[in-house]
Amino acid sequence: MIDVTVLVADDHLDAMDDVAAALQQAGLRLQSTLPATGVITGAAEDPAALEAVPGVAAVEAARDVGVPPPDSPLQ
Amino acid sequence: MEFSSLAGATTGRSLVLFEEGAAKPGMAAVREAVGPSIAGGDAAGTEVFETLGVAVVDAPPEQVMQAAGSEAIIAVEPERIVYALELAEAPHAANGHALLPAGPPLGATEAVPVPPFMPAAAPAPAGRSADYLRGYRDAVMHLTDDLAGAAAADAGTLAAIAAIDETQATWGLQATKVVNCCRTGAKIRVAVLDTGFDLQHPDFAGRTIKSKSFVPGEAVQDGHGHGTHCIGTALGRKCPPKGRPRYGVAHQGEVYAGKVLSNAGSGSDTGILAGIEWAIANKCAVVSMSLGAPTQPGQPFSQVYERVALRAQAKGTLIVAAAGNDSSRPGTTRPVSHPANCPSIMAVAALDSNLGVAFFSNRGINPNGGQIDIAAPGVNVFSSWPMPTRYRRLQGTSMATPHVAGIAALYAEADPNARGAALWQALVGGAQRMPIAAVDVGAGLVQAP
Repeated sequence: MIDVTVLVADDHLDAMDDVAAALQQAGLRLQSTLPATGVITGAAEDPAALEAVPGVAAVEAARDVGVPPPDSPLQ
Repeated sequence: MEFSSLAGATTGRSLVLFEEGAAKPGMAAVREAVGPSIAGGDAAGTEVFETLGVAVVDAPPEQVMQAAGSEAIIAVEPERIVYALELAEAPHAANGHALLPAGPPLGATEAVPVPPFMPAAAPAPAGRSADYLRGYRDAVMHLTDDLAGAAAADAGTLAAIAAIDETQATWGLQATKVVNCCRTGAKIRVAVLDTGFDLQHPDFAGRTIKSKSFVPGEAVQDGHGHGTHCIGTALGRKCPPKGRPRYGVAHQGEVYAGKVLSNAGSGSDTGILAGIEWAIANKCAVVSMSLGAPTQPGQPFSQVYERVALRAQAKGTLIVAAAGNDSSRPGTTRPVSHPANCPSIMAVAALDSNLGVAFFSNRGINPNGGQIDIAAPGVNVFSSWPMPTRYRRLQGTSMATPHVAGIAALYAEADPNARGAALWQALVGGAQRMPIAAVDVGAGLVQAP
């Protein structure tokens, strides 16, 4: 499974739950539906399959982000 | 109506400036002059930017000038090659990359390779127009930067700040004029998405603090220290005890501590986006993100974050983020990190107390959104650290970012209309211009209102 972030299109922001349901049909393991940002997060075996779901504007693999360990002088 | 024929490399295309709101009749005149197939608007080399009132027409100025009789047209110019600055620096950067060893030990900050299903950032006309204008801006700023750099008087004024006495306030609060500002950030909510916060830190006793963890299995309490340091800079108290200097900008702002990075300092886009959601839902005027993943030259920005940042701005929330610490100047400069590389996320570079670019601070190398927007103090930054240590000095674009976030809260307090894109404009417009290239410091050193 790959962690993904799904951007919901502007014209589907009022129907995010419907988009989330359709994404689950397409293989998304749903983590969160974020109405203010219009993003749905989760994980999927085949993220490309999520792109065809109506109301999806973009699908991206979640990146790892971070900061150095506490003992580093450069943060 | 004028026709300027300026020296320098041109593309063979023409730049047409229309009267306000007259792009349509103007283009009709251009089509009449050069033929609909060339100036159709969807021809490969022709683009019309109606909002800007500008068109790039795939025909030489001599030909386009035949439309000069139209009242809708103000000027026709040869299109110049506007990426001269980036082009000139590309070979240098490429050498640097080739020589770059593994880079500084940044922990778990490597980006996941972009998988094939991820759509490339769309080369939308709007993006190209903004890019185009940025190219002009950079070229002009580069020229003025060079001229300013030659002025010894300027250098003398700036160098004077190096001899800063920190007994009253940190050098960063002095250089940004925070110490001269009557604003406190009162009633302004600032979300710092980081490693959490030391909720028992005595410098924050009595403050309004809201917090939430987006890291599974970890409480908000900061087991790393990074988050406590950043919150200290953005929101720390005005008069710390025992003769310590003032280190906090918006000392009466409301603290929203979102834990999106673990105690080991790592996190993921899913947690960060949930943190942004929380900040918007809580009407935070500012989101400060001292985090990121390195990017490669040519790597597109995230469409998800870009759209999220625009939606956040529309709801009154401005997102600022660290440009990243992957450079090793003077030899090597690296591009702005994700997600600061999104056009609508304000990318913050770091300065030292001589007001030079910090050696580690990333550069605007990727043209589409990957520029530095503003600069702030990021070397030898004194701020809070989890107890019992209490205080610590650190450096990084992570330290520069909360200076901008705290100052954004001051602007937001001063003007209730300064939210979202308007707050961005206030910060950039108020910045102190510097004799340093915009690719390194953007609009310059952030200044309190």
